[in-house]
Amino acid sequence: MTAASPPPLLEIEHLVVAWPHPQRRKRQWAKAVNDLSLTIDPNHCLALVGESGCGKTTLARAILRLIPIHSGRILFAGRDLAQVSPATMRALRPQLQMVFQDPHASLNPRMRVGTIIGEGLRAHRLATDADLNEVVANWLIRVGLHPSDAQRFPHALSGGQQQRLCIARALALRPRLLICDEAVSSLDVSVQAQILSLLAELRRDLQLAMLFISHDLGVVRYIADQVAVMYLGHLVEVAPNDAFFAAPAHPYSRALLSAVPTLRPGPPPPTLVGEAPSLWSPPRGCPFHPRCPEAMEICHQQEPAWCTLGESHRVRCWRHDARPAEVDPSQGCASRQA
Amino acid sequence: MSHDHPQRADAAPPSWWQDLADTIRQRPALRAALAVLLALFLLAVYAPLLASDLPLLAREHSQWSSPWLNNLFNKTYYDGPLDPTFNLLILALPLYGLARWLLLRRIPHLSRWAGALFVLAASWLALDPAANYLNPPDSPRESGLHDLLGAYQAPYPKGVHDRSWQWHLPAPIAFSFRTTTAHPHSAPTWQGRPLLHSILWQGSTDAPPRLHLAPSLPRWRHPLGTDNLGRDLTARLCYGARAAITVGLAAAAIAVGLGTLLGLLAGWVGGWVDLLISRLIEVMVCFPSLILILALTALLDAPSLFHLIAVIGLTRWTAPARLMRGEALRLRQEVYITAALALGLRPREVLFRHLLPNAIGALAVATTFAIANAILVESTVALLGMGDATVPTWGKMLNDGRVFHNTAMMLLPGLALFVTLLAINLLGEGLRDAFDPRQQRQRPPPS
Amino acid sequence: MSTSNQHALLALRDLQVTFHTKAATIPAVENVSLSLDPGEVLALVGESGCGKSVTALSILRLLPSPPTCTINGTIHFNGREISRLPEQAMRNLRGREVGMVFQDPWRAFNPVYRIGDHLLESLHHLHLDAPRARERALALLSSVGFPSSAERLDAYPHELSGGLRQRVAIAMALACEPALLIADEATTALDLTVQAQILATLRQLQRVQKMALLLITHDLGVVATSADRVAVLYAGRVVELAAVGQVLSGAAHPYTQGLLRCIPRPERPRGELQAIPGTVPPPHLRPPGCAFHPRCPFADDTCQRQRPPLRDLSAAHQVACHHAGLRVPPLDILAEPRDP
Repeated sequence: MTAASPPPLLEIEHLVVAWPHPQRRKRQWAKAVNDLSLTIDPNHCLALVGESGCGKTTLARAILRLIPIHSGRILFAGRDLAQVSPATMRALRPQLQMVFQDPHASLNPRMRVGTIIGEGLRAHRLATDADLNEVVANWLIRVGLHPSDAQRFPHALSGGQQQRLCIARALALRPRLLICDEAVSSLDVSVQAQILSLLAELRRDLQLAMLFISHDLGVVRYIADQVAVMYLGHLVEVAPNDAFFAAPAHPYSRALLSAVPTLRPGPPPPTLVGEAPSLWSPPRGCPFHPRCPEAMEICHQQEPAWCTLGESHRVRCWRHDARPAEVDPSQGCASRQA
Repeated sequence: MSHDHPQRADAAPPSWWQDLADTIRQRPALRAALAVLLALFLLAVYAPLLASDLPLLAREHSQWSSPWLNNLFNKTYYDGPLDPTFNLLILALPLYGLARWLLLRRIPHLSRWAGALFVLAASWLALDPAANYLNPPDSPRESGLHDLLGAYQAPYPKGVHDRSWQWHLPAPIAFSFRTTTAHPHSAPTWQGRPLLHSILWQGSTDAPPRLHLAPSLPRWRHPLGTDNLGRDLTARLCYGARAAITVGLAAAAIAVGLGTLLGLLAGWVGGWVDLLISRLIEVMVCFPSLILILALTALLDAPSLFHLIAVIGLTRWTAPARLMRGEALRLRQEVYITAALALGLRPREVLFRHLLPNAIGALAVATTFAIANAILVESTVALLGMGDATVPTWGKMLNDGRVFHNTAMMLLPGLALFVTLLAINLLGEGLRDAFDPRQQRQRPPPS
Repeated sequence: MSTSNQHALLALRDLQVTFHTKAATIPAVENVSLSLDPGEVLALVGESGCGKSVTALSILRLLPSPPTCTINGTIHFNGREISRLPEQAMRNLRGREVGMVFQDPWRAFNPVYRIGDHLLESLHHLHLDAPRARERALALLSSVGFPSSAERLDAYPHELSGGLRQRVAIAMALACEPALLIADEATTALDLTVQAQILATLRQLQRVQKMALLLITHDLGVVATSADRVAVLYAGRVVELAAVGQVLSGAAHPYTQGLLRCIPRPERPRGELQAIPGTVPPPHLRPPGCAFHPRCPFADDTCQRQRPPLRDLSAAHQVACHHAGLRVPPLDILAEPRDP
């Protein structure tokens, strides 16, 4: 990154999204997103990986202000989305669009394909009534559908075609940032490859920034410029694509990577034990320490600070912390075997 | 870029209208119900054509006229706005059908509402000149369509029983719903002989004083007999259908409209709005609605049909409200609602363009049952003697039969009510089946 | 190990499953022939519409009964022909000799009953008395890696996470020590790390109890790490049947090759994905001849006219392709470029 690099498109600063306990008297909060800070540059694809319950979907919805935010700032092109009025947010929405996981569920079954794409255009006055049909037809062709599909209903399309439609709907508004929330996870493998190629091509053509949420590391390897790993609402590692897959720094990242079934025959490497703890009773100190094979004494007590490992590679782990005194790297304590 | 294999799909994408049409085609009970309701509607609209004491066509002094047509909008004759409004449809319906068939096929962009308005306007223009053209020269001006809204009070016309023409063409049943004749409590006869054992048609012989007594006519002119005042029952049944349809549709419209609005608001907004509306619903539900309706009607000195419609509508909105609240709560979770919000649509746009169309199924079913309910309630209120005394509703006929111990007077409107309500209920169940499998779409076999 | 193996635990021969709906007759599975030896792990791989789940469900006859669904062909299990077995005998077979685990961790459970009740119910075949049954239930839970079994017997299904529920589902399937376990996409709905744990558990149990495992999945990675042999299904037919090592080092059918190439893998460098053009045809619109020919780069006239039979390419490697081994070079996916 040179000194004259463009300003980041999206800057998330200390974002906290929390749910109160259903029984009000307990005064507990489940922090689905816990003090998260992240940056996405224009024309850059950041992949967010993690398992269920880590908060990646919550983060996506929080960025789009579809769920309430507890505290923190979300700076988009200089404006704090956490503070703007609903009307301003509505006006900004064309620039931040999302493609959802289940294409079938995210399409209104009673609306025709052409109307689905044209609705956003009409609401934001991005196309006049006269050339609406033409714009819709162009978008259909661009995502690999046929203009005659505009008269059909979503249930007449296959899963891959429905996802193409969702992509067209989102991109017709010419967003600057596209959030893909597990957009290819529910598709067949061969269709997934087609949709990924489509997304990569459109990203290049439209100069889009992308936040790609996925649990599939193979997909992340293909499409992302940068990888961010989340665990229990915390961001634990952010690294460039090559650096992440060559040498992941955080023990959880390593565990994730080793859990991916490879195509080499033979027994896989040992797996991570136990399961992620509940958000209602998060562990003290580092959230990963109960399952971490490399946990130390300090991991039980203090949350680790961010350490920079290389260019745009940072990790939150005591093992990589070069600070002396409190940390004795030679003393490794065995993690609690669940 | 690779394209998907073009789907060799159906010619037109199947919409839920087609699903509905398929369901109707498959179920004979539903087809029968629709046929009955259509017959009822036509009967109601064309009641004056069937039963009127004005001749359809008359000739006097070599001048042709149509007293029937001239008095279609005579407020004095029909006593109230209900009948003239239906009479409007007598001509508007065929004109609309014709216009649709001719014009709209050639002008596809003309929306069907524009077509309907055009036809109504045309019939208005056509009726007035037609009525005046067919006037005999020496009679006072009869009432036209524009007099319906104006203050002109046409005189009460003289019918087939009060005057005679050179030649006239009477309606099939030469009595209106208010024409009294010399045959109170008469039983149905055929060629002069009573159809059923007279024991069924024994009634009280002391009739109250008569009005407008018509000259004596053979008994067989009354196919189903008469009531205590000598009013023809067939005519009253036909005109009663008008009241039934009006009450059903109007009261259901108010109830469902109000209920949908409040229910959707409660389900969509949630929070204290939901709390408030739900408590309101619960309070209203605690009152037995029939007692409430009777109490409200009793407060009015002379409840008209429209008072009754208003009262029924304002007390029966709770069921649709609960239903739509449930639908709103359910559909609010759907991903496409979130997707629509993410697109930047206003909440009210999302509510009416995404949520409501998907709740149409439940709404349609609720409306159908609300119509049946409203008709039943009005009949009950009339049976208890608290309905509109001037309109010949079926419930009023039931009440008259009860008061005067006349079985025919009770049987016939009872039968009419039974058939109507059965047809509406069958329609409602058919609609429910048509919309249900649509929402739980058949899943393809697992791969 | 050809399909005429006498000692096979499970042998499907010319299995055909057809669904009859108002709209159309859907041939979900057409002429599938497989065999599974005792103690072996066979993976059934394919995408949506290929018929892998239908095949599995038809073994245990869990599909809607005729006339909606008709099953032709023979199914031999443990020396018996079970496709025409009366329902009572099928009931004895299910749970006792053949166990099944489904994709959805919720599907195996009735939400108003506790885990312990479910386990005891799955032990009913063994007719144990109460204390012995409870002991056995606890032993089962610990064998599937369930933490602190004793107090968890009283838990309700909704109190457990997806991974734990799936473990209990496996325990229920294994309660009577069946000879065959069918896992229908058992790990697809789970997280990556949990999937790895469950697969490891399944492999261990399979080794210990010498149980045969029919693994149904769409994930070739799972196949590579957990299976001995693999059958690739496309459009209701088997297109390739071989040992896993053979498929990885020399995949013969163009569809298998396409699948292997289009999966993005972390260890490969960032580059273009080679997607298979077109889409899987819906079951009632399958093309004549070879079902894959519209999407195949090697297709010619023969492929359009004639349906290729499943023939032996080499010992223990069968392919349903006219040109496999000739015009279609085998693909060694492991030799494809890796990260330096």
